[in-house]
Amino acid sequence: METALSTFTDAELVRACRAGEAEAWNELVERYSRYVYAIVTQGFRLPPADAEDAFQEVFTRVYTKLDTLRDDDAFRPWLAQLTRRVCLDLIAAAGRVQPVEEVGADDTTAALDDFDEAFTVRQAVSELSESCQEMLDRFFARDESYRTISEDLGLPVGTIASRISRCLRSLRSQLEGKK
Amino acid sequence: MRGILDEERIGFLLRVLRPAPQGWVQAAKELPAARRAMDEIVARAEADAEFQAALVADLEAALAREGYEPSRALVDELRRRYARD
Amino acid sequence: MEGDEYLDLTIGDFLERLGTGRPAPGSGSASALTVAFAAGLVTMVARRSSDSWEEAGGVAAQALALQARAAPLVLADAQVWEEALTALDSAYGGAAPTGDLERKLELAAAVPLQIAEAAADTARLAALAAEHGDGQYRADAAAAAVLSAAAARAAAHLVAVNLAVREGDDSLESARISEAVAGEAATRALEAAA
Repeated sequence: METALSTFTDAELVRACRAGEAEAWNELVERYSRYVYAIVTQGFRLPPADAEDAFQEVFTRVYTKLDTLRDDDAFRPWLAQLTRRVCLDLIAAAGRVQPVEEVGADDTTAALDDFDEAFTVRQAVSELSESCQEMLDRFFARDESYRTISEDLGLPVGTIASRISRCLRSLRSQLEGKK
Repeated sequence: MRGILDEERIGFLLRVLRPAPQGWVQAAKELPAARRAMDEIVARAEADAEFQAALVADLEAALAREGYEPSRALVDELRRRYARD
Repeated sequence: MEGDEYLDLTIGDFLERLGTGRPAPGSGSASALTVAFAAGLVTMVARRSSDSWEEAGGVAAQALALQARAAPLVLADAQVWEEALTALDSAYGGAAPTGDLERKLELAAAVPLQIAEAAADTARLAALAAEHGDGQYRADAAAAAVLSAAAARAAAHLVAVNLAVREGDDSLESARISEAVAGEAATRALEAAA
């Protein structure tokens, strides 16, 4: 559901959070929860309990250290670094030495690049029709079946795959237009 | 895996950002309120020796009596401050 | 695709494991792998049809997503099945019931259900590819649909024979729907590719 805050740039949102606007904080969490979740679970492959601790610690540090962000337009890279730091601290505190081949610097850097590109794509999705947004998120990010998508959105099940293809084409055109 | 941003690449990237568990997201959203509760409890404990003793003796019970419904993270942080040695 | 204990094996090594006397990997794992194969075939057909079919790119993307869904289920099925068998052995061996058995049996049905659903969707996508893909590759798309239908049928059977599943359960109903959907898709695909 789009709200006025969902159209704010990161810099505008950060400023609103600093001003103590509760809804701005909610929007910031909503906007970046998947990004942080991806870094801790896929980038650093933390087990579930550690991943939850890391997730909460990241947002705690964001909340308490937002004033230290020098460039409000650079919130995302700041958040990525902060998240990386939290994960490494957690791994070190647990006394675990990660084998180099398991979480190599190259692996996490490559993963972070993917997460950044994925974030850009996700922002572009928010400019598609509501129906496309739902179908793309449900099929690709939530692993829902065509039947579930069809029942929940009230669309004929035999048309879902084609609709998803058309949504992807629209998204591709949109992203190409932004280059 | 950077390359052409075609439908396959887009599909791959859409799969990368999966929703975080709803409970985690909700707890993160409640952080400001949790921090305020934390500051309130700490300030009160510093001003009220009896309250502080109650926290040390039985943290959860003391918080429940005062009407707090703290998150796990808040309880953990308070326990670190007030746990009996 | 991220590695795991089974996906990292060569095909030969996996086939050898399948044939050992151990209960896992078993038919659930084989069904999941079949869905992954079928999804790979659909990807290939879509990629070969990009010049003639506007939706080819989107179909390839969806096939890859379905493959990514099915592949981890190869190991997942083996794990839940082994755990259920251990719990069953324990129960039959006279150990006190812990309630754990029911939960493990339910998990052992949940994974085949996921396999059946992925198979149904892969079969649908394969039928689409058989209807619209490049003529030279429609037979491959039809084969993918048939493979998916077989996997759906096998996985649905595993749900049906699970001791924790009863007539009227949602999981059983859902498995049967997936089996039927996949079967119909395979029929359409074969007709389209004939």
